[in-house]
Amino acid sequence: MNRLITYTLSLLPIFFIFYQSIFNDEIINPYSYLIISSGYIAISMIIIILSVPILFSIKNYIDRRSLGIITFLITLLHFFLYLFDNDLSLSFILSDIVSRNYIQAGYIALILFIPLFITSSDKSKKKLGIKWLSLHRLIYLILALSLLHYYLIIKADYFLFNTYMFIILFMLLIKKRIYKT
Amino acid sequence: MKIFNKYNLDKENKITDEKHFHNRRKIMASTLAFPLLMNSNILAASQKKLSFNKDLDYSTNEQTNTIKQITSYNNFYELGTGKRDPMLNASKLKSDEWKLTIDGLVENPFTLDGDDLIKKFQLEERIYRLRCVEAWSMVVPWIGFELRSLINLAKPLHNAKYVYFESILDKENLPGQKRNILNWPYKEGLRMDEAINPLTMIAVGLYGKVLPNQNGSPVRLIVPWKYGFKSIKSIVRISFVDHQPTCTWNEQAPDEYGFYSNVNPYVNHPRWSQKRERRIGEFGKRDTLLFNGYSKFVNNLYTGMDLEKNF
Repeated sequence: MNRLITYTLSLLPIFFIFYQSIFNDEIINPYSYLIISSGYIAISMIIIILSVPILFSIKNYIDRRSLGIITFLITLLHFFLYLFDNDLSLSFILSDIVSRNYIQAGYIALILFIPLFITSSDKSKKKLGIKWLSLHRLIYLILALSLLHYYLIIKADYFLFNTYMFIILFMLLIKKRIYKT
Repeated sequence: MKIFNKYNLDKENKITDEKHFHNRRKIMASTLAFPLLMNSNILAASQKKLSFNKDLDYSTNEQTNTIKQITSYNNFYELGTGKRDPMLNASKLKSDEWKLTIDGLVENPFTLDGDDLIKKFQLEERIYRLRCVEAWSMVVPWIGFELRSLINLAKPLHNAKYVYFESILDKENLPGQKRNILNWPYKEGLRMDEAINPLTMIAVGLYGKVLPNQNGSPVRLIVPWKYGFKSIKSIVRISFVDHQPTCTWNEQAPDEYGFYSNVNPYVNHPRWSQKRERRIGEFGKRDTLLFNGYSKFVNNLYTGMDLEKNF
């Protein structure tokens, strides 16, 4: 049941942006809207995943693993939208990796996310034991790289980025307090 | 098949007429109430019509973008940094009682008011491509006059080598200027020979009417062979100077935005590849042309210059 709730809720934003980009004629550049919004959604979902333990009242309804799987798939979607935006041109994609720092940060974040996705089953969890936990702590690094990826593409206005940073800091402080006691 | 309809540039519906208005209502009702949809742009029906000739020498015959596309997808940080912000905040730009000052190294400094801007010069419609540095483009029917006719009135002195442009500064009303996003006011510049090139235009209108606020009302520059940010909006001052003037984006990130900022697919940019562009309204991308396709008019301005260095 929790899994169903989590899948449904976490897929809503993606359905929403696809619906908007197709049917809302107020969105003038739908492709760019999809790429940018899926990026925001992915970062926000990672923050939500990390906040689940401190969301006292609703954490019982959230299946954290499903949330993680959906977030990985959204990140992958973000990546494929980028590839299609550039006509899947290999030469372009390679030159983009070489010449743009924010693209590099994005790739590393995506690559680090893969082992987490692969080892998300109960079976892997049992098999890896204590190592599973340290492996899945990579999500903090993935978040940091995603934020770097975002930071490096900002032209001048850091307001939204700072808001994200503030929320993350707040979340981490609360987590620290809870785990101490 | 609705998705494909949407990408057809729609020439018929040049203004937000009643039919559109009701469509919009339907869309609003059929989607979740989301701030994106709320404050939709209704172009003021009272927007003043201009009389003008149609230019044939410099205009492209490509399909123009719709008024809706041109007025609701803008980079005008004075009115906010989101693409829709300039449209949503358009009323915050106070453009009545405008004064445009022409001064500096000239024989005849003068000031123009809003009325002068649309009456003093013979207006013409020019359909130009506009290429944003963010790798998207539009085709826009501007109304205005050549900058050189204004320069001729000012009679620059022989030591006037550059032209400096400055936008409105109004921290009280302009939401973007309440924060130090850029070093306000917005500043731009051209070399004198670029300024007197017949392509370089002062625009006061769009689609036959005076400029909507979000497009840089009441008076803006159009330099179609350069990236869009060179085409400074809502100008209050044009000064003739003997040195290369400070330009806002160049000041913000000198390694990204050069003084010239000519559209050039061969010069790499640290954020966006400039090789291709998406024409707003189209799904795929097209190749970007050197000088945005205006080579035959501007090639001679840059002979002997290393465009990689002078980007």
